[in-house]
Amino acid sequence: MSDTLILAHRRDVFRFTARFLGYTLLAVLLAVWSGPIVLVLITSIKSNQDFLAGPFSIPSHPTFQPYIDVWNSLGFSGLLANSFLYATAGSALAVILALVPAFALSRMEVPGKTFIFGLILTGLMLPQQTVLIPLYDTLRTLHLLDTKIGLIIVHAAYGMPAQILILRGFMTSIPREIEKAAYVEGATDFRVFYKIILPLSLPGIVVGFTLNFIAIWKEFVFGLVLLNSEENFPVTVGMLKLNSDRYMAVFNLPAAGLVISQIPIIVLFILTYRKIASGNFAGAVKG
Amino acid sequence: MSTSHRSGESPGFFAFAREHTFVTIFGIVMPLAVFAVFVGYPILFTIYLSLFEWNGMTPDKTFVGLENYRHMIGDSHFQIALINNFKWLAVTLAFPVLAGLLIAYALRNKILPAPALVRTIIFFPVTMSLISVGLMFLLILNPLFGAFDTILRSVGLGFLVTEWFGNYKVAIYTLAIVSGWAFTGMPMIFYYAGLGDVPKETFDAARIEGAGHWRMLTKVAVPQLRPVTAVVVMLTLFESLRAFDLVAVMTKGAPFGYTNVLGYIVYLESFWNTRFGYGAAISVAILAVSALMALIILKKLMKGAFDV
Amino acid sequence: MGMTLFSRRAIARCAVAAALLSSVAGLAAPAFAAGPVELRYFYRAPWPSSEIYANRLIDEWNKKNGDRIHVTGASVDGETYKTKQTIELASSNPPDVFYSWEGGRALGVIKNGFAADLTPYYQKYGWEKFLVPASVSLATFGDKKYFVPTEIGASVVWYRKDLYEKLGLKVPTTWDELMANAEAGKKAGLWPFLLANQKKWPSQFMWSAILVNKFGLDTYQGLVNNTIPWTDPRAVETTKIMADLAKNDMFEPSFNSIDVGPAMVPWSQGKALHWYQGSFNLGRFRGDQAKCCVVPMDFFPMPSIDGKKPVMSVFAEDTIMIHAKSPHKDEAAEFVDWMISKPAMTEKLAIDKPYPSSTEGDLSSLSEMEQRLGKEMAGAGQFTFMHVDHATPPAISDRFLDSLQGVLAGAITPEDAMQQTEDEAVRTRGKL
Repeated sequence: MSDTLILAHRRDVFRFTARFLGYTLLAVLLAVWSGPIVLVLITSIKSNQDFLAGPFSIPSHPTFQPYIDVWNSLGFSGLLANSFLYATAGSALAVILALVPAFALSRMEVPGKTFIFGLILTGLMLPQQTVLIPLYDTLRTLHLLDTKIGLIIVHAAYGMPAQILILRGFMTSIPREIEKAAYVEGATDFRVFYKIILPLSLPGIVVGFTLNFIAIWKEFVFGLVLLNSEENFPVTVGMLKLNSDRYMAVFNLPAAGLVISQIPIIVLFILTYRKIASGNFAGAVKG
Repeated sequence: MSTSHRSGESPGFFAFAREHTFVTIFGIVMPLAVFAVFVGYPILFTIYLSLFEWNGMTPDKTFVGLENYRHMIGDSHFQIALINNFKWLAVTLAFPVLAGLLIAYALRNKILPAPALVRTIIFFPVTMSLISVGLMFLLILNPLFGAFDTILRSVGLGFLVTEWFGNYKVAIYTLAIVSGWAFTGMPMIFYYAGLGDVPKETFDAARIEGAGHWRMLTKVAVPQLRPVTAVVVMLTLFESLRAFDLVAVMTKGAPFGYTNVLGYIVYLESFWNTRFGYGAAISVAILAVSALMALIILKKLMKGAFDV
Repeated sequence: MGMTLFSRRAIARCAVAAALLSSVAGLAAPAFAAGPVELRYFYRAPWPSSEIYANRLIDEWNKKNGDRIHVTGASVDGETYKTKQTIELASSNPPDVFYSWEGGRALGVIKNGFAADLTPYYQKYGWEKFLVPASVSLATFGDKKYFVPTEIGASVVWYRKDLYEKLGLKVPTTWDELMANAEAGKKAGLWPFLLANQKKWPSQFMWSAILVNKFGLDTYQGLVNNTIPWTDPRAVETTKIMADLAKNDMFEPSFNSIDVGPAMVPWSQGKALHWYQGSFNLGRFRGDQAKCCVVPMDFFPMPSIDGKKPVMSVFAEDTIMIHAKSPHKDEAAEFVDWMISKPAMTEKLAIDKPYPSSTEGDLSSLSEMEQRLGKEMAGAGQFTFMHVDHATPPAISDRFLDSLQGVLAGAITPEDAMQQTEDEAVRTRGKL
C-alpha cells in the first residue's frame, strides 16, 4: 500500500465526516429556525379534532376555516390596512425627513457635526417605553391621541435617525466628481441634491424604506399606548387579543392569525431580500 | 460660491447657514425640531414628571420631590425587573451573537450546505413582529398541547421538561431565548458581510500554517471582525432594552412579576396603576442605565465603527 | 438667491401641509348640532358573543330610535379594557355610556369624577323593582347609585357528574366532605381541582370563597374596604390553606402555566373532578351545544366551613355607567333602560351568556342546571361578595394576585404574600 493511497483514503474519510457534520448542522439549524414556523403552518390548517390529536398529528381534514374565523373575528382586513398605512406613510415621511440631513452629513462640514451624531445615536437607542408618558401627553394636547396621523408622525420621527445613518452611508459612496463639476457651473446645493444625489441614492432609499417599513410593521409599544380604538389598531396590537383564553382554547385560530399577520412581510421579503440580506445595509451603517 | 466649507475648518453656524440656506433649513433645523419635539422634550418631561405624583387624569400634579425614587429602590418588582434586564442582555449577547457569528463563519467557509437557504431561514424571524414570535412560542411551549415538551420526552430528555413560562426560575430565560431566536439573523447578516470583507489571503495564510477552524475563528476572524462586533453589540443592547413586546404578549410579567422587565413596569405603573410620576421615575432609571451602557460601549468598542 | 426663493416657497408649502394636518386632526372631535343626538357606547367584549350581542342591541336601538338618539359602539377586548378605560374616560371626547367595573374599580372611576349619579334614573325608570337585589346593592356607593348591572354571575364548585357517579361520591355539604371527595378523586388518578391560574386571576375565586366562609363576610369586606390590614392572621391563614392545597397536589400539574381556555380540554376529557369558577364560564361549558353542557356536569355552592352557613359569591359581571361629562345623560339613561329591558335581556340569553341582571329575564330557554343556579343567585339576597380584582383598585389586586400565584408555586410564604399586598395597599390608600 502506498502512502498516497492512505492519504487519499484519509482525505475521503475527512471529507465524508465534514460533509456529514455539515448536513447534521444544517438539519439542526433547519429544525430550530424553521421547525416552529412549519409547526404553526400545520396547526393553522387543523380542525379542532386534529388539534386534539397532538402537536405532530397530520391534519386529516385540512381546513381553511381557522383562517376565515380569525380573519373575521379579529377584523384582519382593517388591521392589515392600518399597518400598511402606518408602515408606508411613516417610512416615507422618515425617509423624506432624513434625505437632506444625510446629504449634508455625507458632504459638508456641518457645524456641530459631532453633536448631531450624538443626537442621532440617542434617538436610535432611546428605549421607547421611557418616552411613552410624554408622547401620550403631547399627543393628547394636540388632539392627536388615538388618531392615525398621530401615530404616523411618531413613527416618522423615530424612524428618522436610522434613515439618516443609512442614507448617509449610501451618499458617502457616491463619487464627488459629478457634483464638483455642477458646483463649478454654479449649481446650488438644492440643485445638486435634487438632480444628482437624489437619483443616485435611489437604491439606498429603497433599502432604508424597506427596513423602516418592516420596523413599523413589527412595532407594538407606540400602537398599544397611543391608540385606543380598534379601528386604528395595527396588526401587532390587534393580535394581542389572540393570547386571551377566548382564542387560546384551540391553537388553530392563533396559528392562522399569526400566519396572516406575516404574509405582507413575506411578500416584501421576497421582493427585497437580495438587497437587504446581502449585507448592503450592514455596510450602510458602518458608513 | 458654496465650495468653501466642504473640508477642514469648522465654520460658524451663521456663516454656514447664510451660504447653505436649503441645507440648513431641511438638513439641520427641521430634523432638530422634530428631534426636539419627539425625543428631547419627552426626555426632559419624563425627568420633570418623576418628581411628581400624577394619576394622568387630573390637570394638577402633586410635587413629591425624590419620593418616587426612594420608593423605587425598595420596590421588589423594580429590583426583579432590573435584574431581569441584565439577564436578558446576557442571554442575547451570548446566544444570538455567538450563534450568528458561528453560522456566518460556517457559511463563508462552506462548512454548511445550502447557504442561501440557511441565510433565508435564519434571517426570516428578524422580519417577524415579536408579537407573532411570542404567540408562536406560546403555542409550542404550552404545557398541555405544546410540541416542544413532546419532542423532549420522545428523545428521552423528558426530565428537562419544566413550566417554561410558569416556573419563576426559568421563565425570564425562556423569554430571552425566544427573543434570541428571533434576533439571530441580525448578527449573522452583519458577520456574514464582515467576513466577506476580510481579505481571502488572511485566511489562506492561516490555513497553510495548519490552522483548524477553531484557530481560524478565534485568531483570525474574531479580531478582524472587531468593528462589526461593535455594531452588533450595540444593536443587541438596543434590542434587549426594548424587551417589552415579548413580555406583553407572552407573560405580562407572570409568574408573580418574575418576568417583568423595566420597560414593562413603566407601562404597568403608568397605564394600569395610573401612577404616571412613578412610571416616569422608572423611565429615568432606564435612561440612566442605557446611557451608561451606551457610553461604555461607545468608549470601548465603537472607535471608528460609525466613522464620524 | 434662487435658493432663498425656493426656501420661502418650501416654507409656505410646509405651512399648508401643517394646516392640512391640523384640520384633519380636528375632524376627530366634530360637534354638529343638527341631526339626532349622538351617543358613544364604549364597552368591554371578552367573548365573541359579547360583541355580537352588543351590536345587535345597538342595531335594534338605532332602527327604532336612530332618528332621535343615535348610538355608536366601540369595543375593546377584556384585558385591554383595563388600560384603555382610563384613557378614554379622561379624553376630551369621552364616551357617554361605558362599561365600568363594580367594586374598587368602579370606586376609582367615581372618585375621579367620571361617573354620573344614576339615582334619579333608578327612580324615574323603577330599575330597582326588577334588578336582582344583590346587584343593586353592588351599584350603591354611600347613598347613591352609580352603575346599572346588565349581567351578574356567581362562583360555585362545578363538578363532573359522571365521575362523581363512577366514584360513588355524594355532593358535599361541608368543607371536610369536599376534601374527602377530592382525596377520592386523587386516588382515582384525577386532578381534584382545576385551577388554570396562568393569568393569575382564577385562584382568587377559591381564596375569597374560603375566607368568606371560614371567617365571615365582615372580614372579607374589611380587607377590601380598607378597615382590616391584609396581614391579618385570617387572610394569612386563608392563603396558607390555598398553599397547602397546592402542596398536596389538589390542583392540576403546571397550574400556573395553564390558561382557562385550554383547561377546557382536560375538563371535557374528564381529567379533573372539580373546578371552582365563575358562572361566566357557562358559555365555555356550553361549547357548540344549544344547551349546557358538553359534558355531564353540575354545581354546588362552596360548602359550609366550620359549621357556618355558606355565603354564595354573587357579583356584577357587566356594569354600565353614564359619563358625568356627557351632555346627553337623559338620552343615555334611555338607552341603558333599553339594555335592561325584558326583550333585550331575553335576547342576551339567546346570544350571549347568563345571567341577566333583571329578575324579569326569561330563563326557560336554559338548561335545568342553569335555571337552578339563576334562582339561587336571585335568592342570595344582598349578602354577597365579589372577588378581589373587582373589589380593590388594580394596583392592590394585581399585587395580591401576584403574591397568591407566588405562594401557590411555593416561591414565597403566605406571610410574605400578605405583607406585599399590604405594602401595596398602604401605598395606594395610606396606612390604616
